[in-house]
Formats: sequence, structure tokens, C-alpha cells
Amino acid sequence: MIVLKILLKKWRLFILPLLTIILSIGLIVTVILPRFTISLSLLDKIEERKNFLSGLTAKENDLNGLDENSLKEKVDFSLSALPEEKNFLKIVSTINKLARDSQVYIESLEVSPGEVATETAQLKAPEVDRLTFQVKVTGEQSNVENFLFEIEESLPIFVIRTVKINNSNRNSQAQLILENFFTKYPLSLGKVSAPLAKLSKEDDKLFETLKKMKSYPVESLDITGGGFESANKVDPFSSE
Amino acid sequence: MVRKGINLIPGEERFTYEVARLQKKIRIFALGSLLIAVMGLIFSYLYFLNLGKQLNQLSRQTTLTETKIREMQQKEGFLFLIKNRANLIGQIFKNTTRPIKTLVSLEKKLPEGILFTSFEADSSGKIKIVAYSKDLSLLNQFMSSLSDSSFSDNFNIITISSIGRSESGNYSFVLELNQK
Repeated sequence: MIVLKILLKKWRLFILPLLTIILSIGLIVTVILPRFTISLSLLDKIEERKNFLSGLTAKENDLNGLDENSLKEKVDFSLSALPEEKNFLKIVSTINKLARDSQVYIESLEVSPGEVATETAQLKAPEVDRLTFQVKVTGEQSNVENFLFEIEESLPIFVIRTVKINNSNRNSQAQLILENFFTKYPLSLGKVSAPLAKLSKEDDKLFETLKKMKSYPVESLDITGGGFESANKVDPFSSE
Repeated sequence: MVRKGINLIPGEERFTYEVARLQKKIRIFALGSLLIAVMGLIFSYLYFLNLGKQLNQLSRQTTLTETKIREMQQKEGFLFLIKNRANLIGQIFKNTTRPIKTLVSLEKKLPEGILFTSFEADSSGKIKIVAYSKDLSLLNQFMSSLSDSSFSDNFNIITISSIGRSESGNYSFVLELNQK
């Protein structure tokens, strides 16, 4: 009560200190508190940046630790196993070379680009395009088997979708449907900050398997005879 | 025990004294609050400055690291391609079997006196073999070797059926296998 009386009677004496108090409170409310709030958000941002940077640094270290030559070797293997585009000549050349080396005779070779005969036989690899070959070979039983074995062990990857072997005496005739695969390169690498793809143990194992498989260079094909049998068969280049 | 102070200052003076005392209290409070506000202002300014500096430093480091990563993008591209191919090749291998490898391993188990006359297989793992055996003991021997776990563990089904005897006295049979 007495304070109130004093304030009412001698209010002039209290103006300055009161103004100071108001100023202080105003300063705290209008400047310090907002700055404090901004500082909190800055702290969050710094934490976020630190995490981002640690991810980038880990990626940089991982990239530094990669051997470029070993990567190139793996790229070569993976592309010879699963090329970017269909290479009809390479496949036919490989089949031809394997047949010649195994001493089997190719009776027929048909190709259906990208065709899959039955749904059940369709491989569950939707990103991959395929070429389907039908091959008929004859020869000695062991030679035919050797040819088929080598087919499974060669690059680009061949998958024997179906095979029928008929043996009579020491000779064999094999009819097989082969699938060969190709697919486009992945389009984009993604962001710089995207985590680095790492090769798993299974991937390394896969490359060990691929290393054991053989790739043959494309060679010129020497096809004689065969072709379509027709009474009207006329080679348009024969008159040249 | 209650102690009571006795104010001996007379009315007018007492009032002046009270005013001076209150003024002093308020002044101290005002100065204190001003000091706190100023100190808070300085501290918040410095802290803000420090945070800004840290953020700038982090941004610089980030840009530098990003540049270094971009310089090594060829390696990343290789790795990306390898991983992509490994996944797809793995998928192809996972969804197929290798019938000729199976045929070769089957032939290794074949006793002399048994011959395969036809072999049919597909990539899903189904294999059908028609074979002839000179006698039943050889067939029995072959069946025993097939039940060896190192071989049979790779198959869901191994059955021998349609056992018959041809005019020449040989035994024919059908061997069906389903690879895992």
C-alpha cells in the first residue's frame, strides 16, 4: 500500500528505472528470444549438415579405396556376360566356334528376337531383354555333351531353356532352345550424396563364376549350303 | 519468538526514506535487468556468429567433398554398372538351372552297363531321362548312388519309374528329377 502511495506521489523519480526495465524486457522479447529460436534451428541445421557431410566423407573414402583397374575388369566381365545390345553375330559366332571345337554339326539355327515361348519358362528378370535361339546339333554323344557343357560355360550368358538329347548307338542329336540376354545401361547415377553401391559377397562370388566362363571373339562365319529350299530360289547378287 | 522492529523515524522523513529505498531497489532491478539483457544480447550475438561460422565451414567442406566425389564419378559409374549387372545376372542365374551340369554329374554316377537314350530338361529344373540297364543290379547300384546326399540334396524329387524289360532282355526305366 505504501509503495503504491510512493509511486503515485513521486512517480517522476521512477520513470528512468522503469523505462530501463521496459527496455530490457523489450530487448529480451524482441531480440534475444527470436535469436535464441533461430539458434536452435541453426543447431538442427548444423547437425543435419554434419550427418550429410559424414555420409559424403564415407562415400569419398569408399571411392578412394576402390581400385579402378579392378573395377574396369569387372565392367568388362559384366558387359561380356550381359551386353548392352543384342549382338547376333557374336552369339552365332560363339555357337559356331563351340560346335567346331566340339566337332558337332549344326543342323539348324533359328532365332526369335525377344520371344518367349511359354509363360512358365519365362525368367523373372523383367529389366532384361532376350534373344531366343533354337539350335539342332548332331555328333558323337560325348562331343554333343561337351558342346552343350561349353555353351553353359560361355559368355555372353546362355541359358538352356529346354534341351532334348536323343542317343542312338554312339551318336546324339540335341535340340535346344537357348536364351541370350542383353539390357541397356542404367540411365543415371543419381545424386552425389546418394550412398555408394557396394558389392556384396554374393556379387564377388558371381564375378568369380563369370571369370571362369569363356568369352570368344567374333570370327567370320563360313556358311555353306543350307538356306531355304525353294524352286524359285534366286540369289539377287549372283549376276554381279 | 516474534521480533517486531520499531520505526522511530518521524512521518515526513520516513516517507522520504521509503521513497529512496524503493528507488534504490527499482534502480538495482532495472540495472540488473539491463545488464542481463545486454549480456544476453552480446552472448546471443556471439553464439549466433559462431553457429553461422560453423555452418559456413560445414558448407565449404560439403562443397569440397562433393567436388572430390564428382572427380571420382567415373569410378562410381563403374561400380553402379557392375552392381546393376551383378543384380540382373544374379537374377538370371537364380531363376534357372544348368541341366547339362546335372547331366554330367549324373553320368559320373552311371555304372557301366547303363545307357541314357534320351535326356530332356528345361530351365525350371525338370529333367527326364530314359535309360537302359543290362540288369537290375546295375539299376539298383545306380539308384543307391543317386540317394547319396551330396547329390540328392540338390533335388526336390528323384524318381525312377516305368521299369520294363525289352525283347533283348535289357531293362528300361525313366528317371525324373526336379532340381531345387
